[in-house]
Amino acid sequence: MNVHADLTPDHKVIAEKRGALVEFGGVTKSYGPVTALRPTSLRIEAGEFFAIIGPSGSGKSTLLGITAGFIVPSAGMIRIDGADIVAVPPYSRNFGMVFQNYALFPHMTVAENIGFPLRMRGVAKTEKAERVARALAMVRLEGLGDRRPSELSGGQQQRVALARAAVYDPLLLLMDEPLGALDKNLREEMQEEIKKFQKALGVTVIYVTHDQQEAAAMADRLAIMRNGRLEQIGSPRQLYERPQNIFVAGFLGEASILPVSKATPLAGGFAVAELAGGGSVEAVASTGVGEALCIRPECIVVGPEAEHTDNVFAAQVEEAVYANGSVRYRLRLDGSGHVVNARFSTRPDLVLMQPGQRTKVGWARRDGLLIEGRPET
Amino acid sequence: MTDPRLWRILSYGILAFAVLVLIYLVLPTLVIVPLSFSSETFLSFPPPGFSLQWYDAFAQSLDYRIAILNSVKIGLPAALFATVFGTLAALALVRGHLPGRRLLSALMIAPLILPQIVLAIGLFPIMVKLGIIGSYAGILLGHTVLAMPLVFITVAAALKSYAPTYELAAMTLGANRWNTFRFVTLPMIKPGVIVGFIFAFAFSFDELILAIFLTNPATRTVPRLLWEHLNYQMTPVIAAATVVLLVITLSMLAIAAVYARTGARKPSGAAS
Repeated sequence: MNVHADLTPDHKVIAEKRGALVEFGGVTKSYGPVTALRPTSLRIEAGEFFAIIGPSGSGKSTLLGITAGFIVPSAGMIRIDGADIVAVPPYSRNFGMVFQNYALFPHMTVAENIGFPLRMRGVAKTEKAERVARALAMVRLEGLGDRRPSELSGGQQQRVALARAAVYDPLLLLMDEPLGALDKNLREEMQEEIKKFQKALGVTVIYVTHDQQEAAAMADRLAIMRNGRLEQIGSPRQLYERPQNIFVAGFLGEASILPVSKATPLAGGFAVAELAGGGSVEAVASTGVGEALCIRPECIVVGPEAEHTDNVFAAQVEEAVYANGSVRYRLRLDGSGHVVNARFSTRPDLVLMQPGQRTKVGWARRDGLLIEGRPET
Repeated sequence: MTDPRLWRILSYGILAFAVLVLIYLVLPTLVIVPLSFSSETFLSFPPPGFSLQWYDAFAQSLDYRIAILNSVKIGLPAALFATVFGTLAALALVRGHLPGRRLLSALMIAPLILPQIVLAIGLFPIMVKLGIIGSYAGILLGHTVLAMPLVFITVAAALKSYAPTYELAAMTLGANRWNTFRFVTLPMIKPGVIVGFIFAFAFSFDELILAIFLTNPATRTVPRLLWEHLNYQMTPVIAAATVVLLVITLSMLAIAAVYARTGARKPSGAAS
C-alpha cells in the first residue's frame, strides 16, 4: 500500500522521541478491609511494550487506574522519568489512554474527537487541523474526519481511539482491553497495527488484557497478576518456558502439572523428584525445590522414541484429538495414574494412536520444571 | 396454525383497550374545550351555541394578563433554579461517591411524592416569619423545591444511560473537571436537562396549592386566579383561560417528548 510510503517521513520524525520510563514503588490500594492491590514494585523501560494479564479481580485494572490517575493509591509512588506523579491529576499527566469501549464522544465528529486533546491544550486552529489530519492518516482513516463515531465500524472506532490518545505525543500509552470488543480476525489484524503504531511512536505502552495469547503476541515483557499481586514478570518466552508457580504455568498456555511428594537436589541445578503416587523423575530445580512438576505439551515424547529420553513411563492413551495439523494426546501414566498432555505436529503419513492403546511416554530432564504450588488432584 | 391469527386478534384487542384507556384519561380534560366556545353566560354542558366571546373576555381581562405575567415571572426563574440545582444533585448522586447515595436520592424526590399541601402548610408560617409571604421570592422558593425532583429524575436518567468512561477519557485527554463537564458531560446529558427544564416550568405554570398559600392578589398565578374565579363567578371565561393554559402546557410537553426522543437516540447509536 502506498499509504506507508506517505507515512515514512512522519515516522522518522516521531521515532526519535522516546517513551517514558515508568517505575512503581510499593504501590498499594485497599478499599477498607479489601486489598485490591498489594504493594507492587515494577520498572517499565522507556519504549517498552508491557502487558499486564490476569483473571478479573486480579488487580490489573486497579494498577492501570492508579497509573492513569483515576484511583488514588493508598501508598507508594509512581515515577515517570524519575518524577513522582501520584499527586498529579489525570488531566495533567499527559498520558494517552485507550478504553475497551473506545469512549469516543458521540456528540463530536471523528476529527473533533481527535482534536479534543489539542483543543484542551490550546493548540491553534490551523496547527490542530494539520495534526488531526496527520493522525487520521497514520491510522489510515483519511476522509472520515467528518463522520460521527457511530457511523464507523468497530475496527475504525478503535483506530480513532488510538489516534486520539496519541495525537498529542504522550510518552506513555495506557490500554485497557482495547481489542476486547472486536471479533477474532479483526483482533489479530489490530494487534499488528497497534504494534506497528507503538514502534513508530517509540512510546511506552502498558497494555492490560485477560487474553494471554494477545499479550504474548504483542508484549516485550508481561506481568501476570493474581489476587492483587504480581505473580511473575518476564518475556513471553521466559514466562512460558520458566514459570515459577503452577498459576503462571496454567495461565499461560497448556501444561501438565504433576504433584511431587519429595525432591532431592542434584548437581547442575537439577533434582530428583518423587511423584506422589509413585515413580521418580529428574527435573530442573530453578526456583528451588517446588511441590509440582510442570511439563509443556510439546516437550513430551510419545511412542518408541520416548525410550531415549531421561524420564520414561509406560502409559495408556486416553484421548486423541486432531486439530489443524497437530495432535493432542491425553495419556495416563502406569503406576501413579497421573495424566500428562502431549502435543505435536502431524504429517499426512503419520498414523495416529487410538484411545486405549498402550505406549511409552518420556521427556528430557531439562524439559521438566519443579515449580511452586500444590496441584489439585 | 391458528397461533398467528390468535395473536393478531389479541393485539387488536390490546390496542382497542389502550385507546379506551386513553379516552378515559384524556376526554374529561377535553370537555373544557367545547365549554370555552359557549354562547351561554354560565358553565353548562352541552353548550347551547358557539361564540368566541369568552376568549375575547379573557384577552381583555387585566386580571388574567397580570396572572399570566406572574406565572411566567415565577415559572421561568423557578425552572432555571430547579434545573441548576437538580442537575448538580444528579451529578453528585449518580457520578459522585457520597456515602448514603440511595437515601439522598430518595430524599431528592421526596417533595414530588409527599402531598404538596404538607409542604404548603409547612412553608406558610416560615415565610410569614421571614416576611416573604406573598412575595415573588416566597413562591419562587416553593416552586423551585417542588420542581427540582423533576430535573433530578430526567438528568439522573441521562447520566445513567452511559458509562462514566467518557468522562475518564476526557480527563486523560487533558480536560480538567470543568472542561470535562462543559465539553463532555453537559452535551451528553443536554436532552435530559432541557426536558427537565420544560417539566419544571410546566409544573410551576400549573401548580395551585402552593400558589394558594404563598401568593397574594399581586403575585397570584393563573391557576390561583382560575381557582378564585371558580369560587365566585362560574363564567365560561374560566374555560377559555383553561384551554389556553392547556394548549401552552401540552405544547411544552410535546417539545419535551421530541427532545427526549432525539436525545435517547444519540448515545445508544454510539454504544454499538
